[in-house]
Amino acid sequence: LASLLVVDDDRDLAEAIVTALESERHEIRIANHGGEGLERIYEHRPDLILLDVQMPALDGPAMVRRLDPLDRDGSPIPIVLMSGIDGLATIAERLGTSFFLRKPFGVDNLIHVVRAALEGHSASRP
Amino acid sequence: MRWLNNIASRAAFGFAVVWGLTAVAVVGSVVLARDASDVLEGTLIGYADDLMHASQAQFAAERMVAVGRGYLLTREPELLARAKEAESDLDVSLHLLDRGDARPSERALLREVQSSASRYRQLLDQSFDTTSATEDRAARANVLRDRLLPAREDLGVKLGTLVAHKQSLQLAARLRAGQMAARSVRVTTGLGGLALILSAILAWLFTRRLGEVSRLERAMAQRATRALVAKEELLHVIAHDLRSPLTAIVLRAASMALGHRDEDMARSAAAIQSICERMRRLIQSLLDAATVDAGRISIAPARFPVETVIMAIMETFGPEARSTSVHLDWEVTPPQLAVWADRERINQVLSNLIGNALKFTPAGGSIKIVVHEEGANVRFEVKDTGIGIRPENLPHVFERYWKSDAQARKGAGLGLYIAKGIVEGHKGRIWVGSSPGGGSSFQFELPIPEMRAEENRPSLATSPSPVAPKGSLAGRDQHAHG
Repeated sequence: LASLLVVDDDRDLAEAIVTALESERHEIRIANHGGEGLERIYEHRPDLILLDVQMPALDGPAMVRRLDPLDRDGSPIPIVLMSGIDGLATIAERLGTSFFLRKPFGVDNLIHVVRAALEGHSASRP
Repeated sequence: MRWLNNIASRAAFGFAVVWGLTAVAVVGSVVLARDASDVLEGTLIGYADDLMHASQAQFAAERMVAVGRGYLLTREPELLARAKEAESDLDVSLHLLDRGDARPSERALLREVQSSASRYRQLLDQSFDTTSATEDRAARANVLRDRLLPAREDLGVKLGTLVAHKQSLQLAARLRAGQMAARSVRVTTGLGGLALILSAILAWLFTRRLGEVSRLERAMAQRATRALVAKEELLHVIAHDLRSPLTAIVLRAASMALGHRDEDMARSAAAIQSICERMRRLIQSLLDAATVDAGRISIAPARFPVETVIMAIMETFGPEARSTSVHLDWEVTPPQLAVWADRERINQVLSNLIGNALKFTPAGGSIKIVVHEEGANVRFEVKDTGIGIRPENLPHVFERYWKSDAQARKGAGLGLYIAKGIVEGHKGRIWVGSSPGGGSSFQFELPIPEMRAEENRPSLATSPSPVAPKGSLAGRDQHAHG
């Protein structure tokens, strides 16, 4: 059982992810933008963040950069980037994560990548 | 383009006019110069002739008096003959002075000279006759001299007047010739200058006009490019916004299928997922087509063995081919053949071609992928035993949104357009050969860059299997090939 945070400005998608991961029995919270995501992380540090790249106000990469100082004392929180944007792999690499989900993705991919990220495996290409 | 042709024909006309003017100027000045030189030559010769004849006439008149006096004094018949000879010399000289082209004023003066001359001769003849009776020779000679001298002087004056007149006429003619020469120079210079100015104006006009045309064309091309880029960017924004809800639908459908044991519900959920997959492909196609439109298709080339991409294709399309009883086969010669290209993009091209082939090949048919070297290129061929393409449709199959009637129900008609864009992005070319009922053969060639040409030659001597498919694909190699 792990604690997950889904940060996506598309509320429908965030909730669909929660439903799709029900069988995995994780504790999942939702944030609708980067700022809210940071708040949730302060309240309760998650074991994994599912993060959208393009969001209004504070986007995914900007949120990760603000997150960095928090990680100095402990190990960084694993992140799974989610986007339909071109060059997603490059963006992920630049943010120091090898986990990403290209939208649209299926439930199998989602479960596979979440498991791999939680277990700390590096090879997770969907 | 028609108005450009108009400019071209107007330019040709304008320059023809200029050339015409120049030709007229040259011919005119040549004619004028020739006339002037004729006149000059004629007057100079005429003037010399006239002077000579006039002085000969005067000399003859002088001789007549001298010899006449001698005859009167001596009565020598020989002197009489010489006097007669001088007379005829005078006639000849006067006759020579009387030229055909004489003017009326000249002719009047000439007549006066002639009448003065005939009076003179008359007087001389009379004196020879009347004095024959008289014996006083000295007196006779004096009489002759007294009577003849005034007449001779009169003749001299008349001749002088005639010569002076002729001289003035010739002077006028020379002046005229000079004027003609000057005019010819003026005309030549004027027309030549006019032609020069006109051609300069024409050149300037047309240069400006053509500059305008090309400027407009550039501006139009820029606007078109900007519009295409804007369209592409807009599509990207829309596509991004579409992908999130699409993911939500896919995930919801999957949850539905899991949560219900009801078979109908599970089937519906699976259908929703496959519909979403179609939509995903459609969005991707629209994006790719817009990228091709904007000329911004990105190619990230690398060297890879052709077989690896074929393996991926077999993996993707093998199950579908089996389920529709179509025999899907491939052949790469030499087996280690490698290309310098964007692997994902080439996969996309082949997927589009195979996807099409599967659509149009009925059960029991076959599809074959053949790859081989063709000069400095690597040629890919996808041939099927499908329904083929009607000849009138062949030129259009690579156009955007083109769909055959049979295909109208599915697909956006962008696959071949994108394939063409990708192949051309690799500086290659793509084409099709087909006949109704005879199947279709789509072929494309990718150039082997010269620097890479050597690399592409498989070096069997140094390594027995230099480009063996790696990872999980290796296991399926033989299987798919069979």
